[in-house]
Amino acid sequence: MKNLFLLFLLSCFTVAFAQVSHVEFDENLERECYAEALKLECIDNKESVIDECLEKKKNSFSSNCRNFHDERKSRKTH
Amino acid sequence: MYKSFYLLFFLSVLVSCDKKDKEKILDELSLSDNSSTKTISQDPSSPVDLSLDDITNTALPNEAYTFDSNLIFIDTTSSQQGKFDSAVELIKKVVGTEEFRSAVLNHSYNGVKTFVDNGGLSNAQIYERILEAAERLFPLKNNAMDMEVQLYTNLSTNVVGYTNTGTKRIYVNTKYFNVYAANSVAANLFHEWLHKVGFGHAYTYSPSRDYSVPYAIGRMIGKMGVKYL
Repeated sequence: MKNLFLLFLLSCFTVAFAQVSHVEFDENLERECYAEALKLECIDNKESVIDECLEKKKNSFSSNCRNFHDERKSRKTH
Repeated sequence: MYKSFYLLFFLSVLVSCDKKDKEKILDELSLSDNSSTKTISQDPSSPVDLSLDDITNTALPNEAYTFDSNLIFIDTTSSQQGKFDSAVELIKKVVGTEEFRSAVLNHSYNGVKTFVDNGGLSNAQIYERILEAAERLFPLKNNAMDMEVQLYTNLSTNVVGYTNTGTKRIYVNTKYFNVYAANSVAANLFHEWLHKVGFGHAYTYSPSRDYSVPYAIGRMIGKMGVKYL
């Protein structure tokens, strides 16, 4: 009985904290900034943008893409 | 001992119910005066029972023609509502076409008939999931999109819209909504709804992400919807 109650509590916490957020960004901007990241070799072999590389080469990006990457990063870490 | 457990349980419930969900509950109970809600169609019908044979038969399944929506729009003006209504009608028209079925069943990535991030489902099974329309939160196969849509305005962001897995509500930024034609609004609505049905995609852009279920099928709706504008 006690174990069942604990299990129920655990499931409540799981529901409370396991929410995933789906954020859709402006696709045109995403493509533009992906192309910039590609040029600056900030894409790995799994087609993922590497955040450390973006940070290191921040000044080489256009201001639009700098802002975009900052926003993307902040949404991801929230 | 049990008192502590009850206290913990109460706290966990408080954490899980965020402010937006409380607003949603108030809206549903019509206790909130400042939200005007509008339902496009009536209660869900009886559960849909589709087989893979129905999906791939020569004739389009009935569920493609009867595909419906139970959407609740929060705080929309009449012109915004008009655009949403057009978008929803457009979705129904596109889903009720052979062109749409064929595009989903024959969608390919790297020469293979498949979608990226398909959750282990074949194209036919994905089409079946769409027509069944059983959202993860309320898994009734009612052949209708069940969702709440709320507009918000943030001009300084590049976010078109967002949703969380724990709610049936999606949030659409007026910065983009205001300049989108009805077919683009339809594409965005369908994309978000596909998340509700359980399909995901990579968080950041990559060429392969375009082949994920929400992006690829959302785009189909947008493209095929042009002819219904």
